[in-house]
Amino acid sequence: MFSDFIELIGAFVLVLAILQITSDRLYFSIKVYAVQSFFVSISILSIGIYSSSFDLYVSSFLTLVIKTFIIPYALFKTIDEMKIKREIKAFVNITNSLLVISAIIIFTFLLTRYINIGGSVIAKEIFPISLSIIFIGAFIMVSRQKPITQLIGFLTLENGIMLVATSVTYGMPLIVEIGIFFDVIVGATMASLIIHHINHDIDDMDATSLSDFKE
Amino acid sequence: MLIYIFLMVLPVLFFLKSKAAFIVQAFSSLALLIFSAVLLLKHEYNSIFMFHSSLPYLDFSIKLDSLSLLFVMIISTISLGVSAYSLNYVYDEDYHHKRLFAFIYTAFIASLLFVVTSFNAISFLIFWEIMSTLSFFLVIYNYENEENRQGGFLYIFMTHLGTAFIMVAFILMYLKTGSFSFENWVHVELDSSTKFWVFLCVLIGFGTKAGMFPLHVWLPKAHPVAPSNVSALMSGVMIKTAIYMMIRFYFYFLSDIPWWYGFIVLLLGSLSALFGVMYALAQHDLKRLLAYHSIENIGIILMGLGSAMLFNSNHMPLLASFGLLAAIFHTYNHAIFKSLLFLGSGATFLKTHTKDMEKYGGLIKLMPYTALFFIIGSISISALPPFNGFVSEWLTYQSLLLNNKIDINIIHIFVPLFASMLALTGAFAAACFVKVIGISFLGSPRSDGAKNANEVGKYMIWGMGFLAALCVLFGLFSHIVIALVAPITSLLLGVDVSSSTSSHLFMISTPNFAFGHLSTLGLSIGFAVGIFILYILIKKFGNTKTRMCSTWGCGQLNNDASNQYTASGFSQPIRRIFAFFYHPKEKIYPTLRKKKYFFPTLEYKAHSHDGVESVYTLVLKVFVKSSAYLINLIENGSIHIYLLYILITSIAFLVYAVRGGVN
Repeated sequence: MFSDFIELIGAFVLVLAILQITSDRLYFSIKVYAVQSFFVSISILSIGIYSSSFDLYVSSFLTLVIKTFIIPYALFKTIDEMKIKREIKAFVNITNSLLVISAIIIFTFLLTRYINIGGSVIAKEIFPISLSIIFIGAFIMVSRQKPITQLIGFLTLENGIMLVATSVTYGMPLIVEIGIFFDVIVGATMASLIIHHINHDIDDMDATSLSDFKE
Repeated sequence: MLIYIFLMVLPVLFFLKSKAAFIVQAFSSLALLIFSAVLLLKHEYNSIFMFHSSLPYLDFSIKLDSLSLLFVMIISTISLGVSAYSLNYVYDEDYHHKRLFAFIYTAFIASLLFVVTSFNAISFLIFWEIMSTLSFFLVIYNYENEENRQGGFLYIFMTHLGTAFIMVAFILMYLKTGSFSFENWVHVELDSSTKFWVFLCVLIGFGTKAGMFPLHVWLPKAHPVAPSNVSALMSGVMIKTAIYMMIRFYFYFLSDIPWWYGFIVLLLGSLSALFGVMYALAQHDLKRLLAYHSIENIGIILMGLGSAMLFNSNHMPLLASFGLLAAIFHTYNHAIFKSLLFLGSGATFLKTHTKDMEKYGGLIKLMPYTALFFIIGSISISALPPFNGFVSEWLTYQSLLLNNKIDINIIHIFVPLFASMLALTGAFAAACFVKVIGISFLGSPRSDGAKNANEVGKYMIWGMGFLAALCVLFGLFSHIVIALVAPITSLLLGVDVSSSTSSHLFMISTPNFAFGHLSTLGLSIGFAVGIFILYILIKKFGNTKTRMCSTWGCGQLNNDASNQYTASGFSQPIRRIFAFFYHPKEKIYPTLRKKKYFFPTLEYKAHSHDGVESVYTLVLKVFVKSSAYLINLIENGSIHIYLLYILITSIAFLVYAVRGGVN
């Protein structure tokens, strides 16, 4: 019963990740990310209640604060400063992206049937779901041209990792999780800064033009 | 034992006073030489010094057994002569940063000594790398010169290639024995495939360092550009450390080797010998010529080694010890006379400011001592009696001819061929040094530099004189060396070579089979008496009318130095005969364009091409081109492609893990 609930939450996260692929507006992408993070924090919180583990409360709270509020806020600021609303110059257009990620999801579900997870598992189906989210995030990073969308792809990927780490087993040690949060915060801040500078210096928000700097 | 280590590192401490460092180096070398000789002759060795570090596998152990002691003797002999020489040379050439030079120089000699005494694979590799790196710095010491840098880079590249193979051999031995200590490697039992790979890796790895054909390409590039005292050390001593390890592996570590291992070594040795001497003949840069002669002599050493291996695999320890004696004796001799020749070439270079032989001439009158020592070295390297080169090459011959005792058909067919190749090598070497002596020391000066040359400083003369004296000593009284080598053969093969080779005083004979006897002392006395008688006869009955004219003037009384016989002229017939081998490029062209029709000034340039080098160049070119293309294809600079690589890799690993790669 409880595992069904967790799997439902996981399904929401996956659906939001698919929605992320279809969005071609930056504001919308960031909002999707914020909601996705919210669901991840709910998932962590419920596991925390279920297993009455203090570490998971802290982790859930941090997810909520950092990923649902701080990072989206910072990204909104960046976008406002750069005055870009529409972007998504994709290598792979939205329709084809959807085809690709449906293939990815089928692939991960097939793949995880062969994996035997030892120990106590809360929700087995979370594993293929979060693996799909990780691959979707990676796919966004590969297929989108603008650095800010790539950053969102990375954040999605990170959400997938968070989900699999907390929901399949009972979470990582707190110190590791806090470390990951710091990584994400620093990564997001750095990326916003760098994106800002790229935009300022070469008047083009496009990672493909970075290859002009090659040697 | 501790005294030994102290003596090895002592000179390095004095590097702030460069002159003191050279003096201390000379004296500590002398002390090491005497100590080692005494220890060897009194059979007091095998002492071991261990130092365990806290890092896993990293143990330093130093052991003096008879083989190490002999190589310590070789190194300290040469470093004694060269250090004395450096006392003048480094200051007359006026190298910048003399302290740095003294530091690298003394540390290089210390690392050489540690290489031959290390008794642990890891500590051996550490000192081996220190040795390679320091010698690289010495090669590029005059780094302002483009040619020096190129030679240095080729050298460091080749030497690391060799080290890679050495490491593979060591790791194979470690996997089989579970230990890095040489103690546990002695006569280890290996299956035949491992044995073959160890043999091959050792041959390639140490062959690169020794300058064996076809891995010699770095040698003629690196040796000429190094300072002369350094080339003397590198050519005389450093390439011998590779021979040392080959002996250790093939006679001490590996047991029951198949006969064709020895055959391969013999074949490569004879090819190196012939190849080296033929290219030496075509050179007119004196130091490059000597570098090619190093390849030749390494070849001769390998021939002795190979024939000893053949005997050893056929269980003829007495004859094997004889072959080993030939190889080690030639190693010692080559170290002595090659350093002597490099020092001599350094002296001429110092005074004439050119390495081109065509610009020398008449130096025997201006630099009599240098010329005398150089001629002694030349006679030794050309294997003419009564000097040391002759004795060891004679031993090599005998050892090769005795190979007929082995009952294998291929050996019966090939051994006379190898022996005749050795003979051809000797003849070419003699021709080559007739050219060197004739062109550079006789005749009249061909350039202003040669005209203004004068004798070098006294320490340089002492250094060269010491080595020249050893050439004579080892030639006339070769029993000294046989007595020194005897403990080695009893260590490696269980047979004392000295008991079977010396039947009478001052006479060497081949063991068991009365195949040949040699007494250089008797030979030289007979020779002297013969010359004296001939002289008397000519005085008495010959045509006493004499006419004085300049050397190489072809009997004409002209005074123009450019009319003399030249080095390229001397070797021209051989270049023509072996044109298929040299691929010579000869060209005559007018130096000044406008005088093309009226009294043109012509210049003649002959250039011979090292065939092996062009093969290397071709391979490298193809490799670099294709790898550059591949790199360009893979690293195309797009972040998205890089991310895609990461994605694909992680998916591939996932599939691999699921598919049963990891349980």
